[in-house]
Amino acid sequence: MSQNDSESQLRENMMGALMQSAYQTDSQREQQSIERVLRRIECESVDAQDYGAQQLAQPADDLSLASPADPSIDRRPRRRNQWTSWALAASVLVAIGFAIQFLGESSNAMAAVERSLAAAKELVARHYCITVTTGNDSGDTRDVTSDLYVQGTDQFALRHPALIPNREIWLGSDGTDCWFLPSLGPIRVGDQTGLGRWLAKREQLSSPILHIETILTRLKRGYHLKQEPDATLTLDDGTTVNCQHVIGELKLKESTSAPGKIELWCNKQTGVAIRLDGIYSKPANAWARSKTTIVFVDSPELSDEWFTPAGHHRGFRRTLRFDSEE
Amino acid sequence: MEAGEIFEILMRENAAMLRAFLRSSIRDANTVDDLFQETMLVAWRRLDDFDHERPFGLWLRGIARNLVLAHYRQRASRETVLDQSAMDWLETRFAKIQKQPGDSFAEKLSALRDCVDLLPENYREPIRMRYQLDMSLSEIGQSLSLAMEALKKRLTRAKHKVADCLDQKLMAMENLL
Repeated sequence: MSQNDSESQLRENMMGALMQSAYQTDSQREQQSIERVLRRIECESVDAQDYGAQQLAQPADDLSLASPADPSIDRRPRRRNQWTSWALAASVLVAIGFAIQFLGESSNAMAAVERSLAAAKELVARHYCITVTTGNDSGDTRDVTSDLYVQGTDQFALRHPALIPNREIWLGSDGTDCWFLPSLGPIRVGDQTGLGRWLAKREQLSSPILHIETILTRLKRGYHLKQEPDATLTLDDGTTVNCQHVIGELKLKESTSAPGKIELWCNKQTGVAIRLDGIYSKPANAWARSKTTIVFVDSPELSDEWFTPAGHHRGFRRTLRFDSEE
Repeated sequence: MEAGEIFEILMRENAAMLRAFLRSSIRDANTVDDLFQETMLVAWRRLDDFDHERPFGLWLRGIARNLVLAHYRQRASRETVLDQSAMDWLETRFAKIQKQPGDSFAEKLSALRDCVDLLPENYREPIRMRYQLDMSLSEIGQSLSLAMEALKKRLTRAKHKVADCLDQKLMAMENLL
């Protein structure tokens, strides 16, 4: 075929394609194509959080139009892990700071915890690195790391990896409002309950607020506290810290989302919590959170806006309430 | 709003345009569907690479263009009609159409519909039957009492007349802007 013939054919093809669009005779097929893409994206998004790929029915390279993802397979619980993990991680520090004071049998252990609680209430900004480890029955594990900034008892900002690679989300509280800053799109604001409901509705899981309350309730009901030998921890910058070491064993052994064991290392001089490990009971099913580690990084100088959305994005972003229908 | 929702909005806004772009370069409807899906999935996976200063549709067409060329390279057919320059030609025209007024791709093609309206009746009728009423070639042939070859030639000439008319209108719009 000559160049002119090729161009002529291309021109003709293009006109036919444009006319189909102009008179919208392709709209049904277009809609079907869109739905297929959305299903694949949903599969891939869950797969990115999935720590048990064997549960997926759709092969990764299957572009067949005739084999959509099996709708009977419920992928929601695995996506739940991401939100649950950071929500719980964000709450553990605050929860422990609030609640352990009510419990315990060891006066030394209790004293250490109470000092740590008092330090946590100080209006000093602190930066922690949170690592949530998820594991399965086969011994495979996967870590998700996020950054937690706290100041006092009611201001926090959590940075967590987003579904899209190299993007992040933020959520936090300035002490008055809670907020959620996605990698794209409007900022969401409201109270803690609103945040929990909004996240739960979107992620189809129980509210992280309930998780915080669950942890607080569980802790109040009973952890046996035991003083361990002092330990020296080394921070990322090489600084060594002499720490008191306390282990809390959950008194109530029924099924719980709270950690069965909590280990606390706090600075002997200041009481500041340097490391917290929450160890979770091994679940019956595959892939569940097994451990949460919170490690003190530093006490940074933070901007006045750090605990608000404005501290973490540039340019204009719309702000919507959690309960907005938009 | 999550990234997935944003992407879905962008996908829906550009789906018609992308499908038209693919249909211009690929004859088989199933292959168009496959390449549409592949283009969108590549865009989703590489969303972080997207330059927000540029139109999303332009970026999608760039991805689609590479997939189309790869498709033809894999087939290694002697009848391959598309190469880099052909895709450049296509991109130039789609870029011009993308600049036309209108919220949807169909709205942006108002100039094309005007061109169809301007056709002589013996060309306009088979075009409308084929693309507006979605009739098959045999149904159109029966309706207009035309043999298949004659009908195909008439449709080919009609499309070229519309193409000439559209080129003029797009050029006129460019000069206005």
